[in-house]
Amino acid sequence: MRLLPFILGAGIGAPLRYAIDKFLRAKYVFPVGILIANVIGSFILGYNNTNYFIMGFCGAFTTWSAFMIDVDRELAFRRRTAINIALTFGLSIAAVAAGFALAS
Amino acid sequence: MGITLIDLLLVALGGIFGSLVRWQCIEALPSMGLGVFIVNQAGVFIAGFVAYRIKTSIRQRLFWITGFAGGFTTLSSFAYLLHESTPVSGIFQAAESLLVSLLILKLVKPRVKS
Repeated sequence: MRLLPFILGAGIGAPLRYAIDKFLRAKYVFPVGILIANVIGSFILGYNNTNYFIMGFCGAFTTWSAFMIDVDRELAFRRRTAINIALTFGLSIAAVAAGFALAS
Repeated sequence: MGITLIDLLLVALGGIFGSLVRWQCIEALPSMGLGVFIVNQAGVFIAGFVAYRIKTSIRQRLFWITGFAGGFTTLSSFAYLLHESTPVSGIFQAAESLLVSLLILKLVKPRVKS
Protein backbone atom coordinates (compact mmCIF):
# COMPACT_ATOMS: atom_id res chain seq x y z
CA MET A 1 0.00 0.00 0.00
CA ARG A 2 1.65 3.19 -1.17
CA LEU A 3 -1.19 5.65 -1.70
CA LEU A 4 -2.66 5.83 1.82
CA PRO A 5 0.58 6.51 3.74
CA PHE A 6 1.61 9.04 1.08
CA ILE A 7 -1.71 10.91 1.39
CA LEU A 8 -1.50 10.79 5.19
CA GLY A 9 2.06 12.18 5.13
CA ALA A 10 1.14 15.01 2.75
CA GLY A 11 -2.01 15.76 4.74
CA ILE A 12 0.09 16.29 7.87
CA GLY A 13 3.13 17.94 6.22
CA ALA A 14 1.38 20.82 4.44
CA PRO A 15 -0.74 22.13 7.36
CA LEU A 16 2.19 21.69 9.77
CA ARG A 17 4.36 23.90 7.52
CA TYR A 18 1.51 26.43 7.34
CA ALA A 19 1.10 26.53 11.12
CA ILE A 20 4.85 26.91 11.79
CA ASP A 21 5.21 29.58 9.10
CA LYS A 22 2.17 31.55 10.24
CA PHE A 23 3.29 31.46 13.88
CA LEU A 24 6.87 32.61 13.13
CA ARG A 25 5.97 35.16 10.44
CA ALA A 26 4.08 37.14 13.07
CA LYS A 27 7.32 37.38 15.10
CA TYR A 28 10.14 37.73 12.53
CA VAL A 29 10.67 39.54 9.23
CA PHE A 30 12.97 36.78 8.02
CA PRO A 31 11.04 33.71 6.71
CA VAL A 32 12.30 31.40 9.48
CA GLY A 33 9.26 29.12 9.32
CA ILE A 34 9.81 28.07 5.70
CA LEU A 35 13.54 27.68 6.37
CA ILE A 36 12.88 25.43 9.39
CA ALA A 37 10.36 23.31 7.44
CA ASN A 38 12.79 22.92 4.52
CA VAL A 39 15.72 21.95 6.74
CA ILE A 40 13.78 19.49 8.93
CA GLY A 41 12.08 17.93 5.89
CA SER A 42 15.46 17.52 4.19
CA PHE A 43 16.89 15.85 7.30
CA ILE A 44 14.01 13.35 7.43
CA LEU A 45 14.26 12.56 3.71
CA GLY A 46 18.02 12.06 4.08
CA TYR A 47 17.32 9.58 6.89
CA ASN A 48 14.73 7.59 4.92
CA ASN A 49 13.66 8.15 1.34
CA THR A 50 11.88 4.86 0.67
CA ASN A 51 8.94 5.06 3.08
CA TYR A 52 5.77 6.41 1.45
CA PHE A 53 4.53 8.22 4.54
CA ILE A 54 7.88 10.05 4.75
CA MET A 55 7.86 10.78 1.01
CA GLY A 56 4.39 12.32 1.30
CA PHE A 57 5.27 14.22 4.46
CA CYS A 58 8.62 15.67 3.31
CA GLY A 59 7.34 16.68 -0.11
CA ALA A 60 4.41 18.59 1.36
CA PHE A 61 6.27 19.93 4.42
CA THR A 62 9.11 21.37 2.35
CA THR A 63 8.42 23.86 -0.42
CA TRP A 64 10.20 25.55 -3.28
CA SER A 65 7.35 27.89 -4.25
CA ALA A 66 7.01 29.66 -0.88
CA PHE A 67 10.82 30.00 -0.67
CA MET A 68 10.94 31.60 -4.14
CA ILE A 69 7.99 33.92 -3.50
CA ASP A 70 9.86 35.20 -0.43
CA VAL A 71 13.15 35.55 -2.34
CA ASP A 72 11.40 37.44 -5.15
CA ARG A 73 9.45 39.72 -2.82
CA GLU A 74 12.52 40.55 -0.72
CA LEU A 75 14.93 40.89 -3.63
CA ALA A 76 15.55 44.55 -2.88
CA PHE A 77 16.78 43.59 0.60
CA ARG A 78 19.92 42.00 -0.83
CA ARG A 79 21.63 41.04 2.39
CA ARG A 80 18.58 39.34 3.91
CA THR A 81 17.78 37.54 0.65
CA ALA A 82 21.37 36.37 0.16
CA ILE A 83 21.32 35.00 3.72
CA ASN A 84 18.00 33.24 3.08
CA ILE A 85 19.31 31.59 -0.10
CA ALA A 86 22.62 30.58 1.49
CA LEU A 87 20.97 29.19 4.63
CA THR A 88 18.22 27.34 2.72
CA PHE A 89 20.65 25.54 0.40
CA GLY A 90 23.50 25.14 2.88
CA LEU A 91 21.45 23.86 5.80
CA SER A 92 19.11 21.69 3.69
CA ILE A 93 21.98 19.89 1.94
CA ALA A 94 23.82 19.51 5.27
CA ALA A 95 20.59 18.16 6.80
CA VAL A 96 20.22 15.53 4.04
CA ALA A 97 23.86 14.50 4.64
CA ALA A 98 23.27 14.34 8.41
CA GLY A 99 20.10 12.25 8.03
CA PHE A 100 21.86 9.97 5.56
CA ALA A 101 24.82 9.54 7.91
CA LEU A 102 22.53 8.80 10.85
CA ALA A 103 20.77 6.04 8.91
CA SER A 104 23.93 4.31 7.65
CA MET B 1 -5.13 36.27 13.03
CA GLY B 2 -5.32 32.82 14.58
CA ILE B 3 -5.29 29.52 12.76
CA THR B 4 -8.67 27.87 12.30
CA LEU B 5 -9.42 24.22 11.69
CA ILE B 6 -10.96 25.00 8.32
CA ASP B 7 -7.74 26.81 7.25
CA LEU B 8 -5.66 23.78 8.26
CA LEU B 9 -8.05 21.50 6.38
CA LEU B 10 -7.85 23.61 3.21
CA VAL B 11 -4.04 23.58 3.33
CA ALA B 12 -4.06 19.81 3.99
CA LEU B 13 -6.38 19.09 1.05
CA GLY B 14 -4.42 21.39 -1.28
CA GLY B 15 -1.18 19.79 -0.05
CA ILE B 16 -2.46 16.25 -0.67
CA PHE B 17 -3.70 17.19 -4.13
CA GLY B 18 -0.44 18.96 -5.05
CA SER B 19 1.70 16.12 -3.67
CA LEU B 20 -0.22 13.48 -5.67
CA VAL B 21 0.17 15.51 -8.87
CA ARG B 22 3.91 15.92 -8.13
CA TRP B 23 4.29 12.16 -7.63
CA GLN B 24 2.62 11.44 -10.98
CA CYS B 25 4.60 14.15 -12.81
CA ILE B 26 7.97 13.01 -11.46
CA GLU B 27 7.20 9.37 -12.34
CA ALA B 28 6.18 10.41 -15.86
CA LEU B 29 9.39 12.39 -16.49
CA PRO B 30 12.60 10.63 -17.60
CA SER B 31 14.76 11.53 -14.59
CA MET B 32 14.33 12.56 -10.98
CA GLY B 33 16.48 15.66 -11.57
CA LEU B 34 14.36 16.86 -14.49
CA GLY B 35 11.16 15.92 -12.65
CA VAL B 36 12.01 17.98 -9.56
CA PHE B 37 13.10 20.92 -11.73
CA ILE B 38 9.87 20.88 -13.79
CA VAL B 39 7.47 20.55 -10.82
CA ASN B 40 9.29 23.27 -8.86
CA GLN B 41 9.16 25.72 -11.75
CA ALA B 42 5.54 24.85 -12.58
CA GLY B 43 4.66 25.28 -8.91
CA VAL B 44 6.27 28.73 -8.80
CA PHE B 45 4.24 29.67 -11.87
CA ILE B 46 0.99 28.45 -10.25
CA ALA B 47 1.73 30.21 -6.94
CA GLY B 48 2.73 33.41 -8.74
CA PHE B 49 -0.28 33.30 -11.02
CA VAL B 50 -2.73 32.85 -8.15
CA ALA B 51 -0.93 35.46 -6.02
CA TYR B 52 -0.52 38.18 -8.63
CA ARG B 53 -2.86 37.61 -11.56
CA ILE B 54 -6.27 36.57 -10.26
CA LYS B 55 -8.60 37.93 -7.65
CA THR B 56 -8.89 35.37 -4.87
CA SER B 57 -10.14 35.07 -1.32
CA ILE B 58 -7.76 34.31 1.56
CA ARG B 59 -9.09 30.75 1.67
CA GLN B 60 -8.61 30.21 -2.05
CA ARG B 61 -5.00 31.38 -1.63
CA LEU B 62 -4.52 29.00 1.30
CA PHE B 63 -5.72 26.09 -0.84
CA TRP B 64 -3.82 26.94 -4.05
CA ILE B 65 -0.66 28.72 -2.88
CA THR B 66 0.08 27.32 0.60
CA GLY B 67 -1.52 23.91 0.00
CA PHE B 68 -1.37 22.96 -3.66
CA ALA B 69 1.79 24.80 -4.83
CA GLY B 70 3.49 24.15 -1.47
CA GLY B 71 2.77 20.41 -1.72
CA PHE B 72 3.47 20.24 -5.45
CA THR B 73 6.93 21.78 -5.11
CA THR B 74 9.63 20.29 -2.93
CA LEU B 75 12.90 21.38 -1.44
CA SER B 76 13.72 18.09 0.31
CA SER B 77 14.01 16.13 -2.96
CA PHE B 78 16.02 18.96 -4.50
CA ALA B 79 18.37 19.04 -1.50
CA TYR B 80 18.67 15.24 -1.78
CA LEU B 81 19.68 15.53 -5.44
CA LEU B 82 22.16 18.31 -4.66
CA HIS B 83 23.65 16.22 -1.86
CA GLU B 84 24.36 13.50 -4.45
CA SER B 85 25.86 15.98 -6.95
CA THR B 86 29.41 17.31 -7.18
CA PRO B 87 29.80 20.82 -5.66
CA VAL B 88 30.21 22.49 -9.08
CA SER B 89 27.16 20.76 -10.56
CA GLY B 90 25.21 21.48 -7.37
CA ILE B 91 25.93 25.20 -7.48
CA PHE B 92 25.01 25.28 -11.17
CA GLN B 93 21.69 23.45 -10.55
CA ALA B 94 20.80 25.67 -7.57
CA ALA B 95 21.58 28.86 -9.54
CA GLU B 96 19.62 27.59 -12.55
CA SER B 97 16.51 26.84 -10.46
CA LEU B 98 16.74 30.18 -8.65
CA LEU B 99 17.13 32.23 -11.83
CA VAL B 100 14.39 30.41 -13.76
CA SER B 101 11.97 30.88 -10.83
CA LEU B 102 12.81 34.59 -10.56
CA LEU B 103 12.23 34.96 -14.31
CA ILE B 104 8.87 33.15 -14.08
CA LEU B 105 7.77 35.44 -11.24
CA LYS B 106 8.96 38.50 -13.14
CA LEU B 107 6.90 37.45 -16.16
CA VAL B 108 3.83 36.45 -14.18
CA LYS B 109 3.61 39.71 -12.23
CA PRO B 110 1.57 42.42 -13.93
CA ARG B 111 3.69 45.34 -15.10
CA VAL B 112 3.36 48.41 -12.95
CA LYS B 113 2.69 51.41 -15.16
CA SER B 114 4.99 54.29 -14.31
